Amino acid sequence: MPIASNRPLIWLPLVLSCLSSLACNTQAETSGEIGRVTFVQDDVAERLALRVELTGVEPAACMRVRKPIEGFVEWTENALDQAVHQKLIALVSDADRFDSYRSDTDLAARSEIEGCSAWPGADAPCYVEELVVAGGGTPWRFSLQQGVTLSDEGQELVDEFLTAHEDCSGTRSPSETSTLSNSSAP
Amino acid sequence: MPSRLNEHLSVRAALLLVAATGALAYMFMPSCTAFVPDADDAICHAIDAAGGGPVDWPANTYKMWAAGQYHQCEVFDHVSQSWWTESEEARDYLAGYGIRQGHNWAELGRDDLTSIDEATGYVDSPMARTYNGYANIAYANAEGIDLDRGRSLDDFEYYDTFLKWASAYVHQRTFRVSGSCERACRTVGSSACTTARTVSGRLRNDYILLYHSFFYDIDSIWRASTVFHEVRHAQDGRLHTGNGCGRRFSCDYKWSDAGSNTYEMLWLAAYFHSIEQNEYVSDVRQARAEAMFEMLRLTAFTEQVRWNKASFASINELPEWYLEEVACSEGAPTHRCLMLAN
Repeated sequence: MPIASNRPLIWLPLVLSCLSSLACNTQAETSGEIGRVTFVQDDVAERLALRVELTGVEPAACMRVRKPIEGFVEWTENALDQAVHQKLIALVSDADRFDSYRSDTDLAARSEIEGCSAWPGADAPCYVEELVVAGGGTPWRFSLQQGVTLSDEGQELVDEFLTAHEDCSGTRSPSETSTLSNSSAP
Repeated sequence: MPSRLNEHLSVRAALLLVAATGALAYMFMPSCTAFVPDADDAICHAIDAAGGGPVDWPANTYKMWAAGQYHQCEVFDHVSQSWWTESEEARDYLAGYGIRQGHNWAELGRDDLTSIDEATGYVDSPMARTYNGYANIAYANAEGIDLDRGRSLDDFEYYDTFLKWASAYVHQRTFRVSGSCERACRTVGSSACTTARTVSGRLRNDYILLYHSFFYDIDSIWRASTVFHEVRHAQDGRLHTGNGCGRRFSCDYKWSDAGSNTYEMLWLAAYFHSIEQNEYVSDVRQARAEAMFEMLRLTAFTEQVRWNKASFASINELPEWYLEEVACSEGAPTHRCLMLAN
């Protein structure tokens, strides 16, 4: 068989292959994951984040990153001390505390507007210093700006978040861990 | 020599033919895979237990609402608020969003759409829950199921609100929407679960796969915004660009990348700013959309978003303006770009 007559046979699959690879230019995108409480603390210089699953079956995940955030951000996964996990979940699940959290959230919205109105340079991003707690409902926001006084309940949640973040990232000292574990023992 | 060359060419041709056939087979391959249910897969087990008879569908899980903040949203699945149950035309319109081409719906309640949980009065099959999600997209605009979704997406004279455009966008940019009986959690017993997954493709080979959490863990407004999010992945092929956002998964780098999170928030903003309140767009539903909008704004982007919900007050009156602005260049910001491009 002459070579020339083979060319269509050769190129047809090639063309088909190219066409199908174009058609199959597919990538799976998993999205819409739910089921965790997310804590994000932002300030001008860095971001701290912690994700805690309600059931505690999965380890907590946390990260600390300098701003601006560039490149891949590494998360640390660690099972939280059980007492720390339970207290954190209790604080975000206790309906008696929600009114205080909502007041703190309103305060954060007001202080954001005031803070960003006075921000130097309209072109620069106005970083809001706050802790956001998000799950399935309206996120709670706790302003960390100077001059803002949080409710006792809000302050306790901020403090507990920092404790849990230290526990997750492994920066909490062993003595603190044992004290907490002992105090939670039945 | 020529005969050896011919032989080589024949081998190469045969290999290429095999490769091309494989690629084509992949292109038309259905989305389902062999699956062995694990302990969390309540829908799979319920279907299996029914043995072809009526299925006792699972109850709502709603683990994220343990705090009780949005418990009232469950009622969105009440049969009285499932507007499509009385109308074959409505069901046909909703199926036209891509469900008709989808897989697995026969076992997920296609013939059981009006099955109701007697204790709650909620429609309870996965397909009915999916219809309730899509119904929020279809009925949020004044035309409802009379909207002609086939017109060009550039026709803003016809799509004169964002919510009309949104209904057409979902219709035109999705080919197949399938369901799965999987719970799709990270591990058995975990509450960290996937609600939806999309495989993108430009030639009607895209598909969205919906999991247990989509049907039973989230309310119908969340389902609707999830659909809008997934559609941006589907034929537009926008993948997530960021990492280090607060919620860790599905991060977009910044708002002006105009990715799935941006689009999801646009729909939520249009919904909660809609002034077309009627039986389909209620205060409670709008409050829910607002909450979802805030959650995404604060946790779904690597770079902190600079504006807030008030920036979207006129999104329904000026849909084309908002759609152009989300994609505006960072390099040449206009005054309006600055507001929306963080």
